[in-house]
Amino acid sequence: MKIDIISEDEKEMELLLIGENHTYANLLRSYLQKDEHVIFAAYNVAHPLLDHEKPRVKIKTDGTKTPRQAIADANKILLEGIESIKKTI
Amino acid sequence: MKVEYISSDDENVISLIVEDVTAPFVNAIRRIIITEVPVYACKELVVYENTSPLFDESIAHRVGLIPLKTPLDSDESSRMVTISLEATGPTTVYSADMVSDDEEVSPIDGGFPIIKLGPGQKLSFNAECCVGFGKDHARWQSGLASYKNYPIIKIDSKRCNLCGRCSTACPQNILQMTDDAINVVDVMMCTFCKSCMEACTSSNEETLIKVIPQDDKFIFKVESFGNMTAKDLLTTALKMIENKANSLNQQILG
Repeated sequence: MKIDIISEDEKEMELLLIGENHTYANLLRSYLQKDEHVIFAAYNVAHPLLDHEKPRVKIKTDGTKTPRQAIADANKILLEGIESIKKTI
Repeated sequence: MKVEYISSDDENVISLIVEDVTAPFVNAIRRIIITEVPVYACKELVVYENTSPLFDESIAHRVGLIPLKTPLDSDESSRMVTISLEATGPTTVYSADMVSDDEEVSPIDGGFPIIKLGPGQKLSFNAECCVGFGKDHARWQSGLASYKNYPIIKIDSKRCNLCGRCSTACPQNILQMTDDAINVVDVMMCTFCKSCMEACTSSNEETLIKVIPQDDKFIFKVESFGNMTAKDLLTTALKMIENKANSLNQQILG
């Protein structure tokens, strides 16, 4: 996966996940929305053919943490979940 | 997150009950399994001789859809494997007649019929097999995965008059009548058809039986086509999500 950052400041960030599709974008969105410091998180595939491998993710936070930190935290919870399934099987 | 493993006799099937997760999480695993797990399949068929009644293309299609055993560490850069076949009629050609140049990559079963040859008819080809992904073509799909919410069946036992209509209406037969109550036998079999609720409302009163999907608990089922065991398939899929998350983390924080 490669990322292309469209805009970024302390509270807001917009990026393209290049080479990804709904699978990971929707997963990331769901974990971001669970974060109480994130006030807005969404993704969009602008065109099903032209942009099918670059979903655009937008994140807004309340200022206590940067959007980069929010993504890292979301990934951390995700990785813990995967680890617990791996342990069971 | 709580995960419960339901064992089965078949190594190609695996069932899990996953609790405390969102639908996008189980959906991501499902989507990865059906589209992004790398497996071997025949990509191109070089036909040297074909005097059979079927066109080359039809045979290529049939050979392409035969699942091949795939080593776990395969990826896009794995080598091309050639599987060859030579047959003269009268006979039925099965996948067992194909000879692979790599023992680890071969048809999962010898019983797939490819074609029936009449007397004197000949077929010989080389099948070039490579690693691919389910999103490109069904021949590279490694298995099926599905999930459903865990059902909760609530019965208001105080007001229930034990008429037994719900029990007869249930197509899965999971509601069993006893002398003093209605028992749920196997909740996992519930398909949310709500026949029991309809049967209960026919008296025009409030339903005393309720079927509710639990939002954060899922029954997740993986069925492998045989390229690898279901357990390996699930582990590979989980590893792929892990790689995605780690790669994003690196770029975001690095």
